[in-house]
Amino acid sequence: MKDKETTIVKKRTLSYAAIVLSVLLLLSGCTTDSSELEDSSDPENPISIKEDLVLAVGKMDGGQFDPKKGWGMTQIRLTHSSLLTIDSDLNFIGDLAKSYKVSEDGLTWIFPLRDDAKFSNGEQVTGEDVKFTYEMLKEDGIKFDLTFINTIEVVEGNTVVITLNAPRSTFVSQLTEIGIVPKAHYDDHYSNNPIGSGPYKVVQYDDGQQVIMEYNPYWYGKEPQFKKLTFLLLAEDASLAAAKAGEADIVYVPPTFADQKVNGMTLRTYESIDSRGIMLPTVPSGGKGVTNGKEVDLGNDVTSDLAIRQALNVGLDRQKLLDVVLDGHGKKAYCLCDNMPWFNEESIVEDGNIEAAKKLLADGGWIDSDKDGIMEKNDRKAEFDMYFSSSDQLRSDLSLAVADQATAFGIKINTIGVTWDEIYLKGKTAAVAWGGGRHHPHQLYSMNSSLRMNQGIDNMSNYQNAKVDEYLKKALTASSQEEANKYWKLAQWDGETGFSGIGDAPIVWLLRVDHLYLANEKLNLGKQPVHTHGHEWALFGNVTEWTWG
Amino acid sequence: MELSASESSLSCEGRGIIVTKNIVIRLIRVVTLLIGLSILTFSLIHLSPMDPINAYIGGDSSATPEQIEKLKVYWGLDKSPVEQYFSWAGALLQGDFGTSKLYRSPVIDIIQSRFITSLALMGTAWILSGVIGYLLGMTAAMNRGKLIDKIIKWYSFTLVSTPIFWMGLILLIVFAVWLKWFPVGLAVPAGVLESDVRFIDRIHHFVLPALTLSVLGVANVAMHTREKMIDTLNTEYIVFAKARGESKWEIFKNHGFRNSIIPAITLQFAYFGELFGGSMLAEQVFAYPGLGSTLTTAGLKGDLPLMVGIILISSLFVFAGNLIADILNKVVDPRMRREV
Repeated sequence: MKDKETTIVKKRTLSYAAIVLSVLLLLSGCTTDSSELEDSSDPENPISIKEDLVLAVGKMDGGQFDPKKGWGMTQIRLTHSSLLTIDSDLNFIGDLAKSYKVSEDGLTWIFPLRDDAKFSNGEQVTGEDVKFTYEMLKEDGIKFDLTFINTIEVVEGNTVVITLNAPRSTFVSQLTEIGIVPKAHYDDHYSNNPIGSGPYKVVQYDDGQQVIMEYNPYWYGKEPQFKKLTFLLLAEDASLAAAKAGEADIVYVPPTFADQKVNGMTLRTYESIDSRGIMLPTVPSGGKGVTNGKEVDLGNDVTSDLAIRQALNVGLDRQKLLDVVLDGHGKKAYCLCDNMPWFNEESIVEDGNIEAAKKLLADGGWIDSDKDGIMEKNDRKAEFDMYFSSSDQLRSDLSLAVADQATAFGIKINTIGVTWDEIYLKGKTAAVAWGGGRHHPHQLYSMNSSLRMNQGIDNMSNYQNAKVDEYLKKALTASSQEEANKYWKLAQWDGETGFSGIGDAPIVWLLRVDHLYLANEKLNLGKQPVHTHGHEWALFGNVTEWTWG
Repeated sequence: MELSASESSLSCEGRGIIVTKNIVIRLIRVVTLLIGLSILTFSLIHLSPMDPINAYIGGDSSATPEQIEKLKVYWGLDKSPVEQYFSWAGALLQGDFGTSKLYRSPVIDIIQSRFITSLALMGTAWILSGVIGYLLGMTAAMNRGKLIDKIIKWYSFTLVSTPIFWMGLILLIVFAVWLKWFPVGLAVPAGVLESDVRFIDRIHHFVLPALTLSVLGVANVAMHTREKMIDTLNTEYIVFAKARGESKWEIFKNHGFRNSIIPAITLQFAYFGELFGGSMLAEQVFAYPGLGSTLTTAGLKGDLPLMVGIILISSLFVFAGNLIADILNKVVDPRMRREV
């Protein structure tokens, strides 16, 4: 391997030296005309059957194919497979496991594995590999929180038995997200030679340039039509340029590019659960908290007033925000889980209602006594800062639009664009343009449970409600999905309280972003499930079903 | 006779001492420069809100405080900045640049592979802009006031006020999107294995970024050469040469070339720094994986070892440029040798 690398480097050195030399030669011939070079620019010979795709879906190499580095939120299905998977109707079904069974008390999970699953090097996927992967990730603990797992055992009949310390209904989500790695070949350099059991294997990874994947002949599932996928690691504008130059078959586009016309390509729009909203500190200023292991200041005296948060939920006009921020390419959001099986529809409100917002504020003691258009209460103005990631066009547009609308009911929001690092430092003292949304309800717990305060970036608003905590705990420890969903709904709104916008509103959810792609008109992307947060990769869940023609 | 011989040997020795002294001074200068730079980089990163832990675990982590603490110990981030600096510097003295947090591989390996790519890009741009710039400046000066001079002046002024990424985007739109002569980005064709990439493919992908970089360097050299040449043309010895009936070419060959090449050389080597900055932007626009784009990534992700490594290597590079300019000036211009 090392030898191969050095010869490649040597070859490259040689060829670059040759480039410089040839340029010199051109010069000494007193001709700087590059017409000789242009002649060779014709594309490769035409291909009769379309078996390869070129995709420009953003810088997708985060995680570098290693679950320990974060490969596995949504994109693993290309190169890896997991114990469970989600079908296009959001049911949890078997993948590497033929099926799964949970004991009555919710503590024992049993996974009989399929016998025909093989890694891309031809070796069998065994229970030992599953055990190794989960134990390795539990030990690391950065990307996946698996602290609730007690033991993992491989028993007879190619079956894996996982026992938990306490019941955990959202464990299903991790079961769909964790790609299994081979115990025999996993080390710190796994990214350079990732071996997985997915439909494709990585044959070349040019960091910063492209990833080339080829069909894995040992794949146990349906054989995909496309045998080779090339991912160009281009930024959004370069991707669009690639599409226009006819160099890519499918390109991820942000809403601002949605009206761009490219010959032979059509715009594909997919509904998503990828939500955006405003995170609002729920405690008064003065305390100290922890974000990602760093001690930070805590609390905001304006947003900690319930009337302010509820007024924003009712007063902001979500449809107008959608039109301004996303050119209409999105849906309204009221919770983090709109239209999911665990969504409580009672949390939907008639929004854009300025009168209702004003009434909520007046009831909360906020009045505009000095007639400057901004409400006051006890000499404190209804004014607060709102941070957004300055590198994120959508969040900056959203923040400005929100600030603009809020003035209509007397709340002044000062928007500040900064880096994420700064947001993590100051985020607990001010509003933040927040995001999230998954195919599973675990974020409902991590964003709203008081047990998750000061852990990573969970529960940034330091929200605490005993009733909600109780529902969340019951949902989390439920032994069936149906029972869990019942409590997820109650946690949002039980008729009196809840974490949704009509309740305590620690986060006011506003809109869901449609995921947009420009794709060759001949490319059929199958039935796509509702997409999740983490734009580019939601697409590949059903990659084996894609067809051309 | 004897006397003059001993005299000359003495002066020879004297000059030798001066040269050695010069070299020592320069060496001290470069070492202090590197120490200063590394301290500055370290402090700036520690003062910035940039946090390598955040960058590593990202926005989707549920890491507990204990796990974060473990990570800090693993990376040595639990120690004070001063301790971190000294342990890094100690390793560097033994030739160890450390390990990149982002790529989890030795910094020196990453720099090596990226430097080759960037060097080819910058080398070509450097030679092209130098030669073309000099020729344009010369042509303009020799034809002062005529149409060709005006065109070159206009071209130079326009270019000098053009941001490089904008130029890159324009070239990209025209040559890659409209004309489809060149690919939109990357250093190799999409979907072709490393072993199958042909030399012509590399050239094909190389042209646009190299062109972007060279086009802008031209303007500086051209305008300075023009000025210097005009100064020379206004001197009395040129008037005398004209009076003797020397042709334009003879004037250039006998008087113009040596006089005007000095600012061109100084500028061209001092241009190393700018070239580096320019390549960073050009590489971003064309997704060309060189040192510049790696530095950007390292900076944004708080990968301190990689960042300091690249900064040190590139400052050595710029320093070498200036040093070569000094030496060449002395070789070309005998007057400067005496002034030392």
